[in-house]
Amino acid sequence: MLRLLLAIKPIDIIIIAVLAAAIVGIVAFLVIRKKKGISGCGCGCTSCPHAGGCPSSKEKTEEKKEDNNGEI
Amino acid sequence: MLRIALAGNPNSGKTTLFNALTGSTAHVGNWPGVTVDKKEGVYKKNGIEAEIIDLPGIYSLSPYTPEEVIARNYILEEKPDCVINIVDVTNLERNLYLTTQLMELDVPLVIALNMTDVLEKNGDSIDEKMLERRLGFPVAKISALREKGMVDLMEKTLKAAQTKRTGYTVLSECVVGKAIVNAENALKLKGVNSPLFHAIKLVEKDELEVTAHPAEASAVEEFVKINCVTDNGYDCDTEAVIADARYKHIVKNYSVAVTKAKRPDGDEMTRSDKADKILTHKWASIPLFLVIMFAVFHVTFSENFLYLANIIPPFGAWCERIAELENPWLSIFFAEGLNSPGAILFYFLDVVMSTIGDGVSAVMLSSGASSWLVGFICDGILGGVFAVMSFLPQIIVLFLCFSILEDTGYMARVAFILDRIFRRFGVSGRAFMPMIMGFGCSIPAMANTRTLADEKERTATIRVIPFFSCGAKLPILTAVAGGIGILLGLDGVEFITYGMYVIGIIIAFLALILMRSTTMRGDTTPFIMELPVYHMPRFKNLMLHLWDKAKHFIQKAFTIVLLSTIVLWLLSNFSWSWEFLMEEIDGEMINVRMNESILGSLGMFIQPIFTPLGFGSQLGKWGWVFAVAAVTGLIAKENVIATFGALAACVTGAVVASETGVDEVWAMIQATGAQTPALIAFIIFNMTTIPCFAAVAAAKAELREGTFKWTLLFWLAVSYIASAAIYTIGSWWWTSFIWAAVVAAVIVGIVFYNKYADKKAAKQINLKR
Repeated sequence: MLRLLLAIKPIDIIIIAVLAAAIVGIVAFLVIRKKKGISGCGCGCTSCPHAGGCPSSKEKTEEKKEDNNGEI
Repeated sequence: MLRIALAGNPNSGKTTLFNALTGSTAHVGNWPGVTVDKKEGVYKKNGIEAEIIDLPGIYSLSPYTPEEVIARNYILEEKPDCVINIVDVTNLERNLYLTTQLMELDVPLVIALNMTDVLEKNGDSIDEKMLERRLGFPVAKISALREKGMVDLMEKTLKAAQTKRTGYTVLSECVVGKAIVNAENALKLKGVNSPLFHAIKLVEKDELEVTAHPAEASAVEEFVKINCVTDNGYDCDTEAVIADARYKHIVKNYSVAVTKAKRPDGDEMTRSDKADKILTHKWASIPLFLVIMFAVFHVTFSENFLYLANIIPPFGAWCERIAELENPWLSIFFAEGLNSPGAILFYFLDVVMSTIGDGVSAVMLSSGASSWLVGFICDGILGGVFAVMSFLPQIIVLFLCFSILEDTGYMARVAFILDRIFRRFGVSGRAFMPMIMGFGCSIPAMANTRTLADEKERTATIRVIPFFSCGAKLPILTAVAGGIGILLGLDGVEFITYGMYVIGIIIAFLALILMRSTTMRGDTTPFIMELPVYHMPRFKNLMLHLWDKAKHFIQKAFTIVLLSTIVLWLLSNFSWSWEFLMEEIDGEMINVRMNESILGSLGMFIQPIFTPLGFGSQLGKWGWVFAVAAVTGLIAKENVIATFGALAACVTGAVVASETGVDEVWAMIQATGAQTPALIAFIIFNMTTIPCFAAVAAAKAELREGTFKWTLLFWLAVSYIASAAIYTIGSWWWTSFIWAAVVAAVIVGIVFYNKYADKKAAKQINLKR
C-alpha cells in the first residue's frame, strides 16, 4: 500500500478525487431513493403493469399521502 | 376534493379510463388480474378536481377472490362520493350484472359505456338514452382508449356526486323479495348503511354478511325454510335464485338497448374466437407456444436471422466474406448471416462501448496516469459496467416481445392452456399468470400471487417464480451461452439461451408438482378466466414501458453494479495485510497474485462447496471466480457478469484486457478452463438459487409467517441439486442411472408420505367425531 502511495502522481490524485466524488454521489442517490421508498425492483413504477400490487409502489403512495397530510 | 371510484369487470377499460382521466401511464395489461390493488390519481380539468381510484376488476360484489374483497371493501367502507361503473358495451349483459348490485348501494352511480367504438365497428349500436331511462341514473358513452366522452362523463359524475342517492333493487318481484324486505327493515333499525345491499347479501348467504349480522341471517334462514321455493329448479339455493332473477331482468329491460347488425348465417365467431381455435387447440397449443417463444428468442439473439444464410446460400457466402473483412461496423449487421434486431443492437452498443473504453484508456495513458489506475478504471469499473450494459439491447428486445404477447392477450391463453395440463398435478392455471410475469421481474410477480386464494398454492408459486428467468438474469444466460458456443464451436446461441429458459421452466414445474404432492397439498382452485379479446398493443404504452425499463437498467448499472465492481477490484488487488498485489513486469503493472487477494482467499475458501456442481476446486486456481460471481449475484443478478468483467483482465493475465464488454467475459470463461457441463450447471445454479435481495424482501413480505426460512432453504436445495445433476450427467453419462434411482426413490417417498398424511388426517377426523 505504501509503495502504491509513494508512486502516486498528481494526475492520479485528480482522477481518484473525481472517482471518490462520483462514489459519494451514487451512495447518496441510493440512500435518498431508499428513504423515499422508490422502486424495490430497480425498475420504475410508472408504466409497470404490476405496480398496483408491488409493496414498494404502495410504500411510495402511502408516504406521498403522509407528506400531504392525507390529501393528494 | 371529490373521491371517485372506478368499478367494473376485468378488462372493461378501467385502467385505460384511469390513465385518460389522470394523465398517468399506469400499464394496461390485456389480461384479467393485472390490477391487484387500487391505484390513485388526480383529475384536474374544466374546473373539476377529483381523486380517481382505479379498483381491481370484479364480476360481482360477492367476495370470492382477494381483488373482489379489495373493491367491495373500498366502496362500502371508504364511501366514495361517486362510483363510475365502466361497462364494456360489447359484453353488456355480463357487465350489467355488477351494475345491478352497485345500484343497491346508497352511493351516487354513473355508468360509463366503454368500447362503443368497437361496437359500432361491428355494425351494432346502443341507445344510451333508453338505458339511462330504464336504469334511473346517468349513462355516458365513452371510448377510454381514444379518450372520447371524458368531459361529458365527468360533468355527469360531478352532478351525480352532488345528489344523495338511495339504493334500489331489480329483485322486488323475485320469489325472495319478501325476505329481502324483512332483512332490510331489520338492518335499518340497526342503523346499518346501505341496508338494502346488505339485506340482499344476507339472503344470498354471503359469508361476510352472515358473520356480521348473525341474528338477521337466522331470520332469513327461517323465512327461506318456510317459504322454500322450487322455482326454476334452484330449490332453496337463494344465491342461484337471485342471480337468475338479475339476469332475467337484464335481458328483459336493458339488453334491448343494443341493436345488433345482421350477420351472415353461421358466422357468429369473432376474429378472436377464430384465432383461439388454433392457439388454444387441445394438441397444437403447447407446440405453438414453444414455437412462439423460440421466435421471441430468435428475434433477440440470432446471428442468422430467419436462417436466410441457409435458405439463400449465395447470401450466406456473401455474409461470410463480409465477416472475413473484420470491419467492426459491418459486423454489427452480418455474422453467420443477417443479424436479428436484438443482435444488431447488441453489436452496435458493443462497438460504442469498445470505442469509449479504448478512448478512456488512451486519454488516461497519454495524460500520464499510472497504469494501475488505468487498469482500475478501464478493467475494473468500465469492464464490469460495460459487461452488463452490453446486454441492454437484448433485454429491451426480449422485454418488448413479451410485452407484445401480454398486451395482445396471448399470455392469458398460455395460462388457460397450462391449466388443462397441470390441473391433474394439483396446479391451477391461475398460478401460471404470476409465473409468466416472472419473465419480467420476480417482485411484481410475487405481489400478483395475491390473486391465489389457496395459501399453500400461493407459497408454492412464490417459491418457483424466480426460476422463470427475469431480465436481470439474461446477461448470465447470454454471456455463458456465448462461452459454451465458443467452446463447442457452435453457431446459434439462441438455441442454447432458449434451452436454458426452457430448463428453468421445467425445473419450476417439477418443483411445483413435488410441493403440491407433498407438503403443499391442497385443493386445486377452480380456474375461470375471461379470455380477453385480442387487440393490437398501444405503441405509446409499449414505448413508455420500454423506456422505463431501459432507464432503470442503466441506472442500476451505473449505481449498484458500478459500486460492486469498485469493491471487487479493491478486494482482488489487495491482500489481507493491505499489500498492493500488482507488480511491474516488463514495464507493465500486472496482478499475478490475485489468489492471495482478499477476494481470492475468500473465493478459494468457498470454492469447494461448488465442486459437485462443476465450477469449484476442479477448475484449479481460477475456479473461485465462479463462486464469487454467484455470491455477488445475490445483490443484483447483473453483478454475476459484472464480476466476470471486472476480474477478466487478471484471469486472462492482461494489464488492460485486449477485449471489452462481453468478449472480455468470454475470454475469461475460456481462461478458467470450465467445460460445457460446468457452464450449464453455473447457469442453472444462478437461475434457481436465492434471487436478488429485492426479490427476497418481496418474498418475505408476501409469505406467511414461518415459511420464509423454508423458502430460502428450498431455493438453495433446488439450485444445488439441479446443478449437480446437470454437471454429473453431462460429465459422466452413467450417473444418469444413479439420478434415475434417486428420482424413483423420491416418487416412492412421496407415495408413502401421502399415505401417512392421509392416515393421520383420517385419524384426526375420527377423533373429532
